[in-house]
Amino acid sequence: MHISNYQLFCLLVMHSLGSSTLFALGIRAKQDAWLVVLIGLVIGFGIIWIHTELQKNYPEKNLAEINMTLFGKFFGGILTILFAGYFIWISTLNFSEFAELIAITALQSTPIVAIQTVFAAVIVYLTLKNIEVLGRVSEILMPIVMLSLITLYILIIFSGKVDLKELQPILAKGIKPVLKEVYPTFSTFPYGEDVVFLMYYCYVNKSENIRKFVFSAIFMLGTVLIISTVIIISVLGVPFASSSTIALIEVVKMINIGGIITNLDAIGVVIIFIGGLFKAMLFFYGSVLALSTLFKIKREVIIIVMAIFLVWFNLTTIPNFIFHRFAGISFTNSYLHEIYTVYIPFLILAAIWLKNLNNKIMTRKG
Amino acid sequence: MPTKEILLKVGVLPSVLYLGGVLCLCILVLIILYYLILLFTRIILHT
Repeated sequence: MHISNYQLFCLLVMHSLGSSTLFALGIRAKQDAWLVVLIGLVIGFGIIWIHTELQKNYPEKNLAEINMTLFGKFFGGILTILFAGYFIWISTLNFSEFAELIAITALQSTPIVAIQTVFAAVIVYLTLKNIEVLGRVSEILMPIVMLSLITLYILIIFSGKVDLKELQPILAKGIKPVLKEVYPTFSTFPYGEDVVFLMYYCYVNKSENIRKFVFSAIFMLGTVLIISTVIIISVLGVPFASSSTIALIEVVKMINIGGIITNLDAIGVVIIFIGGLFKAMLFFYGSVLALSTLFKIKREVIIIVMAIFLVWFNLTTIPNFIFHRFAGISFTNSYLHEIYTVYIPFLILAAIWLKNLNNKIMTRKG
Repeated sequence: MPTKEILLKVGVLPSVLYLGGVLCLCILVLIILYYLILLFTRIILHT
């Protein structure tokens, strides 16, 4: 069971691109939102460095195995269960978000349960096929999604709707509002969310090149996000961008070249679907792998049980899109992400360093 | 909104994840302190 470095790159881009291009990130900093994304990218590199450093110390092990090797079965097990819970919670949020977005944009009369069931079926099918198939699917879909996005951006520029004056004045209220948005909200999301890849790094063919590919993926993602934020703000303006549910769809609706090339919402919906699918799926599979490593139960059994849990949990916990935004932004982005993507990985890394140092002194003594 | 109110509103699993995460952070800090003490003791004994 192995994936190539390029497949890892594609998986990372698809995973992080999922929901981040849809919205105007850091819009609370108004016209300086693109600066939030830019500074977030720099901090994002630091967070990713922690994750890849963890992987470097245990190249053959996933996060669950690292926890159990370092802290023993009891505390390592608890930590793994918490990570599995975190992964399934983020998967639930994405699952509900994208099902809801498809219901809003494309399938208004279809019951949400029907969309969620189809979504869950695709996730179950793909995860049953294992990480190799996920890698190959991402290899095919990543260029399609990127090309669609770039085409949309070019078309909106040719439509003459981009007004860069919307980005002015830069830093009108100083750097403080920008920095307030950067940490923890927009450095742990979307970059920190790549903590789930600690479950997948052990499947990569050449583990010594992982950091190079991960950094390239993050750089590419950051660039796309900055362009996306600039275009959203310069097309919609700050008030509309901050109040719209899905800013990307509003931008796509503005495309009109000579009354011929117009109504391209479908492309936007395809990007929503593919991105959402990958994000929800990778978090879901991360949680499945963590539990199957911990309890030594067949992966297939856990996939089926967790998929049923996912749909049930969605229907019972997240009643509507407003609650989703509250749970996703007010709670998860501000409280959970920080703990699971920065603090715990950093402390695990510190424990590894100290343990290695202790062993070194012991062997020198011996 | 205060943290307690947010936790009550958001549901059981996310609240457990938050509180469990904070608890694990504290335990990890203790483990690191243990390693640090071990390290200094060994350095002192070594020299």
